[in-house]
Amino acid sequence: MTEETMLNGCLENNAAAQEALYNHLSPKMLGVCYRFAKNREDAEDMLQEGFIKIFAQIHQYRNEGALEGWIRRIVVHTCINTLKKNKKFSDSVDISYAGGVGIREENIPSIMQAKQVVDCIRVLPVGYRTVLNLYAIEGYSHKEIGNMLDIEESTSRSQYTRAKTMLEDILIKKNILLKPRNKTTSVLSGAVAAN
Amino acid sequence: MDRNFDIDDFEQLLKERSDEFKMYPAKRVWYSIYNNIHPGKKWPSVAMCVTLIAILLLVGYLNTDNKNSHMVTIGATQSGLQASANLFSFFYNPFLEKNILYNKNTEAAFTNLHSIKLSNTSADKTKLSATFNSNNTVIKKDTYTVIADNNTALHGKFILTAIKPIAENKFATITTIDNADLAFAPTTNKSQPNSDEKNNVTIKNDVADSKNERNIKQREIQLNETIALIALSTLNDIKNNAFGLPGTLESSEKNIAQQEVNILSDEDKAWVENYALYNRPAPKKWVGKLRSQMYVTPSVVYRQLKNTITTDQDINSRVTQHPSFGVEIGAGIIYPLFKSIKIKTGLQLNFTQYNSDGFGNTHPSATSITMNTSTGQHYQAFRSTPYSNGDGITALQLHNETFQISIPMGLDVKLAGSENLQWYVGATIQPTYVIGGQSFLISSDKRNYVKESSMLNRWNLNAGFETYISYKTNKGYSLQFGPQYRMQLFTTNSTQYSIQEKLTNYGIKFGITKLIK
Repeated sequence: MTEETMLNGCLENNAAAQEALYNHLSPKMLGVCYRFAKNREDAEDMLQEGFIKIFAQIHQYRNEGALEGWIRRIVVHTCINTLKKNKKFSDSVDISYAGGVGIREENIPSIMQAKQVVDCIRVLPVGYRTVLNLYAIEGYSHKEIGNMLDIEESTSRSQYTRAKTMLEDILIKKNILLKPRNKTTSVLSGAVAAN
Repeated sequence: MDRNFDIDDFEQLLKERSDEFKMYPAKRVWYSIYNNIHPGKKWPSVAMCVTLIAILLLVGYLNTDNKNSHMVTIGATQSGLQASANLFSFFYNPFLEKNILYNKNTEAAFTNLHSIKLSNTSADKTKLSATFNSNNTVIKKDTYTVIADNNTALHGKFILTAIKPIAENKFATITTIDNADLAFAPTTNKSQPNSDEKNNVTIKNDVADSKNERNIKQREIQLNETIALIALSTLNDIKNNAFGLPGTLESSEKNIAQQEVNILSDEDKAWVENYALYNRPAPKKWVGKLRSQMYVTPSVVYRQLKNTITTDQDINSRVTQHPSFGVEIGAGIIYPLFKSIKIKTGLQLNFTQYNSDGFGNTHPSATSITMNTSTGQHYQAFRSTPYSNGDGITALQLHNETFQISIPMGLDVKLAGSENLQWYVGATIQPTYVIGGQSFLISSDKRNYVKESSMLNRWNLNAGFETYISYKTNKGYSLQFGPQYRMQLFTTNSTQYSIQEKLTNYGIKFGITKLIK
């Protein structure tokens, strides 16, 4: 079933088309949710809520840009809204709190491939990883992130800087990143880059 | 998204790696979405449920027919994985913890991870020969007999290598079930079987070759737990030097280990991993729905008296009484049964009181209260009391009060509202136990009060009605506020007392609820 067929079917509230679209995109979208969520169950809840919104609002899709991008934005916003409902999240985007957070090395996961990187992101405190997810992976600007999370733009920047530093440390400890010598940036090790 | 990806290598590669990451959601997620967007068509359908139930019933029926004497024959000259089974082909999935029995004629049904192909080559209909056409199958907890082929003996180590669920979400442990040496002298006393409990197997009833008693022709093995069979082998390759030589077990383990590598196909491994991923404990249905509630309801308490002796005058006009304050404190849980209907229950404490005007006297006076008999007759029970109704020495307020504990059970119905602000009506029925209190009974001549707390009914029933506004805060709490009416359905005092008293409370309920995570 082509994307256009699925879209037309979804606009007609056709269950088969909806399921096809869900099957097509849910693995990737669950991966997105998983980066924001505390655990798999929460990620699946976010995914569920996100797709309900998608099917309810699919008539608002204007064919301006890729359907996947439109769906991804809804899923990301659903994740953010879910996180914002959590009090701990509100606390953790406060810079004074997050600045003192340390990561115990034994908590760093040891798994393979893309999941290795994702699980290292998930080790970060929720405030850090949310900003990092939105900026580095989803491509939102700090201004947009500030609006989404109800924080200052400068807070988003400093959160991201700390998150990036912490993530680099984690990836280096896990030998996923090579420690930089003369360069200012690190590079992914060949073992992972090859995956 | 006004930012372009003019980022350094780290961020670019971080994005690439993250975008590669995919996870497959559990099927229930789609069902939930489907049910939400197609509320009229519940998934799975009733027909599907009926079919599943029918299959389960069939499996249960077939299980009850199962005989307890499976026979497994292993040819000593075979490389393993050929055996005989009994009349029934069987399949047990240890991960799903379900037995599935098959008719031998439906061998095509064995298409899953563990498959068995049966063929009847035995004249004895209770001993069907089976060929395990898959390296993976399962042997149920039962007793099996290992029989050597004609003109052969069981040599070497008889080894069952198995996987079994060892803990929640841990399945793939490989266990050697029976590594006992078959090459020793057979047990002659059948009532004293050799046991190897630590390997979850009991060996008994060895039968020796009539020509050479060192050769075992038959051995009975009782499995003490159901196992998933990975390899079944007599280790033909070592049979010639297998008579208890120290190296036998070692080499056999190597052999089995080698088999294990080949036995689990990629598909099987994927199945096991997939199972481990998706078969975690089922999420609790109430999680994310159940809410806890705490509330307090200050109220004004009124009472209504009724004389069961109909010829008597209106009792309410003969006493001077004032409503007083009561209070209700409770905690409970609320579960949304439907979108606009919530059921609730909990535990609550009530304090009720009302005051009667009376007088205290220095000396008690004799009086009586009118009591009912079970046959509808009346009699006078005589008392002495220092409290009078009409006149006396010192004016008093006589406090009638009760302390109650009750279990309200009821429902709330949403009448209107938005996501944050909602209007509900609710009703509860409240089985009530009266912990204590005091009661002043009116004498037969209405001129005295008799303090008689022992007349209080210990058990009662109340009904509550309320309407309230619920406001959802952005911190996950809901605040509730609204009027409540609570009425007592049975009389406060024993039905033996001729004057019935029923309390009514008019209060304002303040509540707070929070989602239980």
